[in-house]
Amino acid sequence: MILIGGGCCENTAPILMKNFRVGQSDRLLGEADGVKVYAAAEMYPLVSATPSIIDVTDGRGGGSFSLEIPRGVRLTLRPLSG
Amino acid sequence: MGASVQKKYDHFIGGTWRKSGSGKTIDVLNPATGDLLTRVAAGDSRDVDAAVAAAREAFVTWGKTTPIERQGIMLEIANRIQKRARDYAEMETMNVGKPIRETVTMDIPLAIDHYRYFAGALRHIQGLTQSIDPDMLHLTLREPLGVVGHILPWNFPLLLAAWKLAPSLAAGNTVVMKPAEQTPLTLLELANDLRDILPPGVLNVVTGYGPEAGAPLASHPGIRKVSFTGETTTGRLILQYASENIVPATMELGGKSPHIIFPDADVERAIEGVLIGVFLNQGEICTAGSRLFVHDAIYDSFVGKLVAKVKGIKVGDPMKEDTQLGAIVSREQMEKILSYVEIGKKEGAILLCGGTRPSDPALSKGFFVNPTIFGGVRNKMRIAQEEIFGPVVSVIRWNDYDAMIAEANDTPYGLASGLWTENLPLAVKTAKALQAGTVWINNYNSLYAGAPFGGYKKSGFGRECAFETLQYYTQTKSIFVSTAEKPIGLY
Repeated sequence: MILIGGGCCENTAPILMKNFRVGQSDRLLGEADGVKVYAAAEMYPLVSATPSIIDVTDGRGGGSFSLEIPRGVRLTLRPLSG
Repeated sequence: MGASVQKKYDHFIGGTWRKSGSGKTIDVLNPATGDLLTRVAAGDSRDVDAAVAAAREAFVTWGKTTPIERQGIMLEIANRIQKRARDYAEMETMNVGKPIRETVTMDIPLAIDHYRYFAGALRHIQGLTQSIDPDMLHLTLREPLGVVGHILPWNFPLLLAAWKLAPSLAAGNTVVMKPAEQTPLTLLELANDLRDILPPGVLNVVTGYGPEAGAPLASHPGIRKVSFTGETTTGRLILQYASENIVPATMELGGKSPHIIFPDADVERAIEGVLIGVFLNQGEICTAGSRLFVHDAIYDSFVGKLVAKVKGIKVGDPMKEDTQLGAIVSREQMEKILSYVEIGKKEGAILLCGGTRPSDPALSKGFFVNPTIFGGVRNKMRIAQEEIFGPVVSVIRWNDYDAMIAEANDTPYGLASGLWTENLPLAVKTAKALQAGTVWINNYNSLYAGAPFGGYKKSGFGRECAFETLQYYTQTKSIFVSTAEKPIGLY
């Protein structure tokens, strides 16, 4: 699953994890390729207001434990243009 | 340039360099130039297992060292760093992109002082005694935990390593550290520099990515505590791992700290404080005063002077002595900061300066962002709520004290705060009203060993840098001593 969280070294970013216990106040935003996407409670009003896509960029993020990082890519949240 | 960086580094495990189980490496760049700086090992659970095993073995002896022995070693650690202070400063600047004047005057001296502070503080690790009755004595011992795992961020690599390593060692624990994959250089050099004074296995450094090296460390059944400084969701994940083994954690997570300017503020000092608050380390600092609350009565003149001052900030090669703003740590971080500039504009904030990459062609290969000010920001905007982690400040106009305090506290975070006024009662009242782990009055971003550092709310828990930190690195044993000569007569 993906949790969109924030703070410190990576700002607001989708974190891809396995076996993460989703919390009661995390909000389900939708699904991306069959993977559930949640927003942490404090992020929900901020990200749900902006139509966004989850994109993949080159790079390795800012130190989170998102699962794609060892592959040299990083998920990123982008506002939908237009 | 004095500092010589090796072409590659292995893990540092059990007092020696050890090749990674995976055989893979990670490129480490100099963000001011985009050039390759060095390569480090891409560690995984095999390396973490070896490091924890080495640390456990070392703990048998290190955990029994006397306070005098540990104090001597820690003072020597400080002296070793001091001897190569300029080297460490240059390496940190080359790896993180921060200006040499900051590493020379802040990062390295603060790190050195941290070892000296805990070298002294450890002599005060004491228990208590009680005489319960003529035949029963009670006493407590504070004992080390065992192996402690630390996961470090990229913004102050050597300093934050000191924040965690010093109290860990002072209390008699052994350590496995996973530095950020972008910035492992100074910690690896430190491990090497301390080879002849720290017994093998006391300090182990495993480099690697979070999911591959950090996760196995945080969830390892052989550690007795984990500490993490970094982003909030990963903090939650690490807490879940810690719960598997029922180990305590220290969490230092994000912040969106309010910086409040009252009408009677000393303007010249306050403006310098704003710059220190949000442009030091390129704003890549958890305590950044990124929400600037300026009172209506002085808004136009203050912001005008602020913009003029910020436009004069020297952005450039961080190795140059007069550079005031260096490079952002990576291309992705730079792009994220610039995307927040676009978000701010779309939200209706007014871009007063910056928001672009420098035009100097000498800086085009590096990851630089000009210092940026947004005016007319409302507290609910994304640029006011989300941590941008770059040289961007959002200015919010205020005139009602209670409403301003409510807005200052209207954030999931609570790491730090600052305020500028000449009115002492007002300063004390405001300091008490702010929900933050640090309040800076007529200063900002001051750090000092002995001043507890940590967050309220979702900025985390636990306190670093202070004497109370030793409580988090020891455990209490209650010992009852009976000197009775006859049975009690119960049975």
